[in-house]
Amino acid sequence: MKVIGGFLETTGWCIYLGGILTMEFVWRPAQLDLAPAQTGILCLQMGKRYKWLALAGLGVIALGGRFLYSANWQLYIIAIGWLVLVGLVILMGSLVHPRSHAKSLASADEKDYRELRSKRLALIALMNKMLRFELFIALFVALVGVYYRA
Amino acid sequence: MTSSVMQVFASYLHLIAVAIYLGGSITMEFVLGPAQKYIPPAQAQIVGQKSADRFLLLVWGSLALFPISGMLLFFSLGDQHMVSKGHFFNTSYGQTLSTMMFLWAVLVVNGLVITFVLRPKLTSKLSGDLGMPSAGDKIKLLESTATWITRITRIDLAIALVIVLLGASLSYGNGIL
Repeated sequence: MKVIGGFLETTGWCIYLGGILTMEFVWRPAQLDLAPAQTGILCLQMGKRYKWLALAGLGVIALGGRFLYSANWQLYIIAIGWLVLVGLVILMGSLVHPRSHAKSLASADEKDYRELRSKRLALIALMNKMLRFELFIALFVALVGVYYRA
Repeated sequence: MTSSVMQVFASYLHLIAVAIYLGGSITMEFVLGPAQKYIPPAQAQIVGQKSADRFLLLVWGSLALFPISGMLLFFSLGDQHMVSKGHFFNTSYGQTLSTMMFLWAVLVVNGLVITFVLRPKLTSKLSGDLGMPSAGDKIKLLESTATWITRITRIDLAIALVIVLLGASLSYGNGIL
């Protein structure tokens, strides 16, 4: 059972951590060469898919971890970190990211449009900070997990 | 203590390397790839090419990191006795380890094929450096190259999953074979 647990936990971390690292070091620089309108479409579509992939990764980590960990201080850190990561993915995937792609109404005037634009830019900036924080937490929790097994 | 620190460091590097390879491939295949269908083909080509170029750098980095972190891990765990004196092919541990090495070599070969054979074909077609008689033939060649890249990428994904399973069997036992 420990082998299966180890396989699931490692696969979960691969899906989750590999996804964040790819988004950060592949997608983020690649989008700089795209037209803003296309970036928006691609970003929205990727966000929809990525949310489920990240949650699946975190789910597989929890499933595998059940076979591996017993109660001690490392487990508490891992569990708290895992909950923070789940919270961040749900918050970003269901609230911040969709709102950062909100469209203006057909009846909107110039002032409404500017307000919406500044709101979207603020949400994008918040999203970027959250993504960096998520990456930091994920790397830290993975390190604690490795330390636990060593 | 030093050995334990080295063990944590090596295990962490090993995890990051496999995460970049496996998780990155999954993200490229199931997140970025399908999303490209929502933008015009010319823009999809640009983002596809740029992201593939950057991802290939990560892939080669992680493929290089596998054996380095793996060796560090192997020696920090003090597992040398498990494969010494002809035990490499006679024990479950040795057979599992040698299978992992063989599969890693397959990933390297597939990586070489994609990087130096298929990708240049695809990019030269995209940039108009052709020499084919008709547009239909060009498109066919382009499609067949893209199909082969997708096939090889999926085979690599399956191989990477098997490597993770074999690695888990070494971490939590004495191998699976």
